[in-house]
Amino acid sequence: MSVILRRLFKDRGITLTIFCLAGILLIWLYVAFFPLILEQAENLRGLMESLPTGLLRAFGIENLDIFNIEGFLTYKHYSMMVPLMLIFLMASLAGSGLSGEVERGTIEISLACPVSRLSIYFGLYFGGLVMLIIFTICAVLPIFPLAGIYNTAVVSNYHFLVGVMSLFFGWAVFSLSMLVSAVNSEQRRTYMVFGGIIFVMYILDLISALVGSVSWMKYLSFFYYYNPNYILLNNSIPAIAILIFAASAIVFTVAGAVYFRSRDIAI
Amino acid sequence: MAAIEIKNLKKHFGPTRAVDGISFDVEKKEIFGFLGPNGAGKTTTIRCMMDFIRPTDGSVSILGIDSRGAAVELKNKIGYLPGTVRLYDKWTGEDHIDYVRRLRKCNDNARDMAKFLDLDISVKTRHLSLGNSQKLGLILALMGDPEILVLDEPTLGLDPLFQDSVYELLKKANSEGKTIFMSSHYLGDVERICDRVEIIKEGKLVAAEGVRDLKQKRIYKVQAFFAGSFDRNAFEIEGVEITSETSESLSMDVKGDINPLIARLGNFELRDLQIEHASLKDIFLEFYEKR
Repeated sequence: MSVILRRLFKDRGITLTIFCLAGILLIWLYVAFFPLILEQAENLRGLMESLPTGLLRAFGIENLDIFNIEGFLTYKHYSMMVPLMLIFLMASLAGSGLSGEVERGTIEISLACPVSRLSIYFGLYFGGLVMLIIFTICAVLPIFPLAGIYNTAVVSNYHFLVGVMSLFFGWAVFSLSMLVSAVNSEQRRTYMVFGGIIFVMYILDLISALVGSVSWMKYLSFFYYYNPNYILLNNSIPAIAILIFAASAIVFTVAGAVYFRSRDIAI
Repeated sequence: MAAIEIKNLKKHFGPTRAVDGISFDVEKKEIFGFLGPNGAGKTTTIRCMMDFIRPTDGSVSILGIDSRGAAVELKNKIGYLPGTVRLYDKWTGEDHIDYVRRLRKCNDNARDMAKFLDLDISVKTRHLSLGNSQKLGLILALMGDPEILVLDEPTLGLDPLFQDSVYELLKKANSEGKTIFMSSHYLGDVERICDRVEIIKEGKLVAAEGVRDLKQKRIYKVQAFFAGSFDRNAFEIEGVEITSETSESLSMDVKGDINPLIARLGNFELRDLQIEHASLKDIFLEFYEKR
């Protein structure tokens, strides 16, 4: 399994580096521009207040104060860019790792060796999880040195909690993408199916926030549970979010592994 | 105990019966040919043997071990060369060798083989020609000193010189005690190297042949262009069929031994002579169509 894991880092190291650099640069950008936001505080506050409450709720930014660094990062970085980058990174790893290898036929090199399919699956899986941790660290923790450089006070606990929630969200997303990739034999098809599921989840969350009669649909979406704004307001991660992400990850992982173990692998 | 035992193997893809109830044994230290035209079921059978795909019915046993139940244990003893070698295009040959060496936990005899096959393993594989990719595939298959080699069309797309190197390598491996199972859709391939041949067509075995018998089933397409006049009746020879003729030439199909025809042609002055092997498809039509 360690050989497969090592190979993943060799093949996808550049992708991970690019994502990590993007995460660092984005948070740097937001921290650097935050003083400018404060200068425009009054105008922006008026603009925010003029927006419909339903719309703010739909985007998870109702009751959000963007005029402190935590609120600003919640709005710009943690609620948008971090989950978006996590989704792209995790889908890319899972898609190229399983269905991509089946499509290109290179999986035969591993399958012809004395290594079980589960070792191949979990080698990629644990490699992906290590990459998830590295990316999350790069996307969240630079806030501390950057806040020092720009003389901005931060609430440490909030950023740690957002990091933990991002990890659980990324774990669930990665497990889902591994399941989709284990089922498919074409990388493009994997991206389409996985992208479709994520898109539907996003739409469900959006509609449920706008239309009260179907508010139950939010429970079907990861985006409802991934809520940095809740952490900002309550200084804790909702237990249900952790539970849902962990349970989904375990179910998707087991389903993906069982299917990959028993499926026909042919080009 | 046979090295490979296949019993009533079936693999259906929906309504398509890719392999439909084949059974045969391969003895230890044998070079066994698995011959059939494209789409006959050769690769599907091999993929079942390698546990890449699972049989609809039947069993594959290698060295007395069920290929599905103990696939990991078995693959320590099997070297596999796919029909079309697929490589990581951003890796060098050395990267591939290193990867397989770690997975197989074996000593590295690959560099010697690369030298023998005149392959530069330091270049990225996207720069390798088809023949060089095949060479690397063969090296990967032979790594770890496997007891059995399963080769799917090992000389596909290779030039004749390299084909000779492959045969030499396989004969050497066989002389060291390895069992070799190779598929091909070229009669010439299996004739040159195999001890015994099974012939598959449309998912079913149509014949088992010794190589000597198989040679009798050769068909040649001969076109003789005469410099002067010739006697058509001189070519009424057993096994020779005249398929067309002009005032200057004869086209003939020859089944089996070609020497009587060559001797007869020697009695005439020729302007040109063309001899081709008939395709496997033609041979199947001639000998196995009605089975």
